[in-house]
Amino acid sequence: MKAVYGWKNKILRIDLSKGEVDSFAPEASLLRGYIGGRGLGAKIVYNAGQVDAFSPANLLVFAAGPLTGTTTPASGRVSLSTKSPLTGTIFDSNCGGSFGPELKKAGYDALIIAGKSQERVFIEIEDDKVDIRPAEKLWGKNVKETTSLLKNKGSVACIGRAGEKQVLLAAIMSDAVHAFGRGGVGAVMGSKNLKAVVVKGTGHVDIFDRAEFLKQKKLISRLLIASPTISKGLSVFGTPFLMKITSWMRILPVANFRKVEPDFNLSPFFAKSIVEQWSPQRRACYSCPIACKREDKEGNELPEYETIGLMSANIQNPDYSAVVEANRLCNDYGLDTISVAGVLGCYSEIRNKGISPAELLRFTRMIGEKEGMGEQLGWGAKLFSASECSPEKSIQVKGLELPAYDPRGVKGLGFSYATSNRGGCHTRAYLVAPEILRKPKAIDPYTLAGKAGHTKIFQDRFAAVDSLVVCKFAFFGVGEEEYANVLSAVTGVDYTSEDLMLVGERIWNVERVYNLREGFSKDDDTLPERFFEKKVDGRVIDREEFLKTRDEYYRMRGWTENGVPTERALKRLGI
Amino acid sequence: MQELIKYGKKIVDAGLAHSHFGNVSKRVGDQMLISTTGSMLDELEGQIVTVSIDPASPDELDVIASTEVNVHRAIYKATSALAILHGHSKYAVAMSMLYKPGELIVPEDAESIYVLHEIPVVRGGVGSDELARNAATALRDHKGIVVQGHGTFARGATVDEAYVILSSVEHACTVKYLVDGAKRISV
Ligand code: SF4
Repeated sequence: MKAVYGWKNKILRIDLSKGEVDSFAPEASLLRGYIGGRGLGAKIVYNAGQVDAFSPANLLVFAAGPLTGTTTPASGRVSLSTKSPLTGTIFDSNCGGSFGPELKKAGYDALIIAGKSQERVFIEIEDDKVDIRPAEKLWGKNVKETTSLLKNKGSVACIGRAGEKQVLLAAIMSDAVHAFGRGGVGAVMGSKNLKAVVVKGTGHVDIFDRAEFLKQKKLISRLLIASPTISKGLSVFGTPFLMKITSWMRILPVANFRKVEPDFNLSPFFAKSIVEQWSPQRRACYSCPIACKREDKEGNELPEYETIGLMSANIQNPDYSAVVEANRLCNDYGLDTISVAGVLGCYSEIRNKGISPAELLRFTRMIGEKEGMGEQLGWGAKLFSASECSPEKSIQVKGLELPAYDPRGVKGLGFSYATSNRGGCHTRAYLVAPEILRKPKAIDPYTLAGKAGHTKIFQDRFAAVDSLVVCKFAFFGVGEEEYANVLSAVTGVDYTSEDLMLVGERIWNVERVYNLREGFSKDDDTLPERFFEKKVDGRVIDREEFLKTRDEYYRMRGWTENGVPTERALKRLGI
Repeated sequence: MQELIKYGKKIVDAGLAHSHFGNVSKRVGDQMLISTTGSMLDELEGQIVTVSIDPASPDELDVIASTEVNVHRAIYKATSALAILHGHSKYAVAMSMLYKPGELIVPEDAESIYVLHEIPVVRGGVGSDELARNAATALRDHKGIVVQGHGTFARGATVDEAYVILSSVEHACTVKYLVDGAKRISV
């Protein structure tokens, strides 16, 4: 058999309905053309055809990449693909921790979970040994307890009570504190009666050219340290350093995106105050020198920027410690913090009142338990606001609640929310880098001019990055050139940076075609009305300009004026 | 703020910095106003952030402040400067490459001799601790320095004074370059 480097050339498949386990070698073109992670997951989910998100036929595809399990800096992440019950779109979720590297060391590029178990189960994988085991005793437990009961068996990805109850905002938590967040992926796992997947690997990843790999790894490490965003921001403060910047730029959403000026002092939410008050310790995902995660002295996780931004000013809660506690509750129930905060912002506008610290904790618990008002809130902002006859108060795109950047002050980022394949998300094009952090090159955040091209390029770029699988934060210091070189050294397949961009474009188009097949259209590539109608800080998105930018974006992608990829475009991409 | 915006424009108009290069700051108490990274000096409206001048107290806004923010901090700590301007003017950069770090460029023209006395050449990568150290040390005794292969740092008690120094360094380097060149031709 021909030697394979980087990839394991093996995909594990588990059918929970039949209780069957098998594995297969994917076609070489699938790995080369989609690399792994998000790309591989998207293609597998696309090929599975049209399914209901909660039907047994919906797949959960955990996919590592060729760099996963090597010591490439920031390569410890893993991707999960499925159909989202919250958005109805194809969905991928990207998670840190050590689940990906363990999966790879166990000998698999990906794990496909299909079907629905009659009993409540968890999956235990140790190299070739794969067991579907009863989880009756685990059911009803939250994430921390479940993880501590299973962690001696390997890296744990599990759901809490929210996932068991199929709350549409449920996440899957890896190693207790890393989230496969957004899109309700935890609810899909719950619908399969699957409590957890535990994986332990004792193998390793073969590298084609070790000397070149070490050279490229050294170069990447040097570039990471040289990046001011990393050395002065992420490594020093973690992601909360963004609080002061977005507040300075006046793009931090306040009162459900109605203002950018809170009624209370924001400084306790700024990273420097958090450092002074909480003395956070640094924590890192597998093989990551950036170490942007933070925990308190007792080892409890502290919230990230998006959670802080949306659970403070956007719901008018002035208490940082309540955000810390709500973040912990979300992680323990297995809930997506952005969506929980987003639906609470919507609730607070509908009820015309802020959310007090006590209410924040109470509502979070109620959403996790799916009880009382928590049941409706757990539908997400789009359905909740519709049930309250106030659809205009839900700040979401394609059903996914927006992150903590007001699009009127970062217009390219706003445009990327509108055109995102998984709904209102900042990580698809990650224009946070050039529009807010001015890297790799500052671009004017206050205009839509030129943003069709920027959005396309950054969407393609990060689709490829999510397929390697590498953390986006590494790209504050490193370009696709360096990662193309390291990919070539690891796999022995010659990739250029343009090859990576082409892979990214292919993935983007597969996702687009999936969503069109599900009934999404041009009309869904838009933003909540208030961004076109209501000024904040003197800024608004001009509708005409937005529509022109959207037309330009479709043309740049080789799509029709209705946003449908042409035969020619798909053929060029080999789809 | 307005002063930095005004002098940012003057620096570009006078050819003392190009494109997105160069940075400006002004000390206000224990803080400084400083231009952001990637901004153009002739378009600084909305592009100036306020950060601490204490090197032991990094600020979140350092991430979007000029990449030379640590150099500005070190200079404020070591000197009585109240304003710092940094440009990339042609003759200053060219002359810095004809000298070794630690050497002094001695101006030829009377005005530059009067204003600058001499111009130290220092070493250090962009925004590096080495540059911060070397620039701060050299600026304790001088008003303007050139970083080898990089550009000029000028300090002043006002932004206007720092601007005079920045332009004087370029003027001194231009005259010296021309005089030295003419001497070589006439020999
Ligand atoms: S930068 Fe942060 S999120 Fe990314 S891999 Fe490193 S520790 Fe994990």
